Amino acid sequence: MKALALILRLGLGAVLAYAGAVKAFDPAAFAASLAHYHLFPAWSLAPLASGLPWLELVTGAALLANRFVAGAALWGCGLSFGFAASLGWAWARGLNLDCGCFGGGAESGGHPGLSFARAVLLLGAAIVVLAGTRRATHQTG
Amino acid sequence: MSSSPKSGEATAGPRRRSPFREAALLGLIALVPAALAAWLHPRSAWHAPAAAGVIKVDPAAVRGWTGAVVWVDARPAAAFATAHIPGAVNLTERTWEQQLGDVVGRWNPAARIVVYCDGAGCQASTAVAQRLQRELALDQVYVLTGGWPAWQAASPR
Repeated sequence: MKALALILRLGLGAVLAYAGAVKAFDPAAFAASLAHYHLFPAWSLAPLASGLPWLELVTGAALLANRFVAGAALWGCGLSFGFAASLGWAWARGLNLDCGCFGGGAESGGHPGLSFARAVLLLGAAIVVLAGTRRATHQTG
Repeated sequence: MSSSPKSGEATAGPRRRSPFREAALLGLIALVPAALAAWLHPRSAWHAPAAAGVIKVDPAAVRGWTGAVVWVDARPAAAFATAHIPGAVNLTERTWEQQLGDVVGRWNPAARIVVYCDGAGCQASTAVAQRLQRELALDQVYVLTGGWPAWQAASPR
């Protein structure tokens, strides 16, 4: 169980840090991807596109570095829930969009169901990591 | 000195932070580079309007136009080969260099360029329209709202 928590923490951290770094390179492209969800109001696109990648990057880095793990896992839950919700919404509406998860264009034409499933897996990993930190504090505290 | 609590006496566990406080701290840490990037990043989302100069038109509006229209199909070659709007030329970002000549060959200063792709969710038409606008120094390039499905739905059979 400890090994599983470690693997999930490092895996979640690596995915979030990578996804954040790629998007932080090109906020304009990420804003364009977000616009295609037809889900976010126009005024929110620039703040989302500027802030989300760095939040992912910091969260991922914290998980990798084993610092503030509980807080990072909490963000991991929130972020991946948000990804799953918006991807699921787009999938349900039949939007044929480039999910923008790992920057623009890299996986154009990928099935939205796959991106959705990946977001749900991330959510599961974040919940396990968060639960792990709670148990650890109960044991030491 | 004598007031320092022994380990067993502390009611709250030692060095136990709330996950929410940690999360707030991480959020603040992320805010600093995010604000810097929003301000200084050359491709900041704040500087670049999503699709400046690209104008959305619906099929009915295009039918009402009297001047020449150059249709640009931004879908992959296979989809273009199956069916396309009559007279359209295929142009995708992947095969840009080979196909751009076809578009230029059809274009004249009085013609309006309308780009379409596979539907409301596809980005290719906007990307191609913006690139056309940039590389050919055009003031206006149009994007067909709803793309190919909307055109088909609006076509008389």
